[in-house]
Amino acid sequence: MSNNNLIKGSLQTIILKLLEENEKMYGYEITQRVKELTAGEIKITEGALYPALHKLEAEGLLSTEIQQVDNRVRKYYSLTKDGQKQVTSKMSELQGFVENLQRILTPDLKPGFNI
Amino acid sequence: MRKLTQQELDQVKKAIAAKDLTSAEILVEIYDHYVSHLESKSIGEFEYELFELEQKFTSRFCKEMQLDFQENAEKEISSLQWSIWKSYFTWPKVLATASFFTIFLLIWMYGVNLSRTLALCLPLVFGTCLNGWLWYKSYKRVSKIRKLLKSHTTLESSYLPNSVNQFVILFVTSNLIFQVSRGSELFNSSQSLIFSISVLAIFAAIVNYMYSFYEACKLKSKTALI
Repeated sequence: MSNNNLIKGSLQTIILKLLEENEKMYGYEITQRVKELTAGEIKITEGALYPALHKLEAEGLLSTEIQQVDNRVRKYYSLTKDGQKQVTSKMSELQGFVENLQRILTPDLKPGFNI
Repeated sequence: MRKLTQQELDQVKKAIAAKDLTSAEILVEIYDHYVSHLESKSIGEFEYELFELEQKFTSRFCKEMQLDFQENAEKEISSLQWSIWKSYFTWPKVLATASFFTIFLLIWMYGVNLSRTLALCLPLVFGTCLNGWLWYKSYKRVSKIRKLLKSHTTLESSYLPNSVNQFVILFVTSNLIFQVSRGSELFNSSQSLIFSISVLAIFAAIVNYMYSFYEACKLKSKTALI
């Protein structure tokens, strides 16, 4: 089953969370980190990743840094102060959504259930 | 992880150049993605993996991404310009702003025609030079990338959209104001008050635009190809 549609809505949160844990990352590194963390179950497509990164940059949540690496130029992304503030709220928003989803999928669970 | 051979690198450059992209930022990002991915694959897998990348980064997708990026970059610069412009009226910068306009008004009220002309022209000429310098610096940075990627298209930073057009507009407007200011009799006549105010308002708007644009690009140059 393709996870792409399920991932779409949470891609920005995933990016922000990864950048909170790693000081700075470049596009390809993000795709590989997600693949590694989910044992290949979730693959972020390039078609979704780069537009999301550019949007977050334009919104002022990410800043970029250009570095020379092995005779080529690499663009690193890192969180801005606004971005750091957003991570917490985006994470609790996503966690709340997952909890509610869990209640729908497993109605026997008590309302106070936490993942 | 391995290093790509020169032949493989040339193949990657050729594939990316065929997309006819003009945004330096997008081009370097795609090139780095290709090379990073291909470096993690064996020599035998190179052709197949390059083909797979080409299926993902189609010309259409890259151009759409470039367009979105240019729009976002333009908005980012405008929003930076706006916040810089507002900062001209906050402490302590407001002192410099007030001093500039006081000196300007004093020259305007008590100066002779020559000093009035200079008061109008010097800030514009200086601003044009600053923006020209910015454009030249960006051109130099992007030239290196063009050479590296052997790109045959006109590359430019997405943060300097229509930079040449802006430069020409600023230059023409500066000249227009200069020519108008030479018709000094118009300014001396009381009937030309509205005309004088209009010219001064345009002057203030251009000076503000030039300096805030320069400052915004200077700020962004730390992280972008400008």
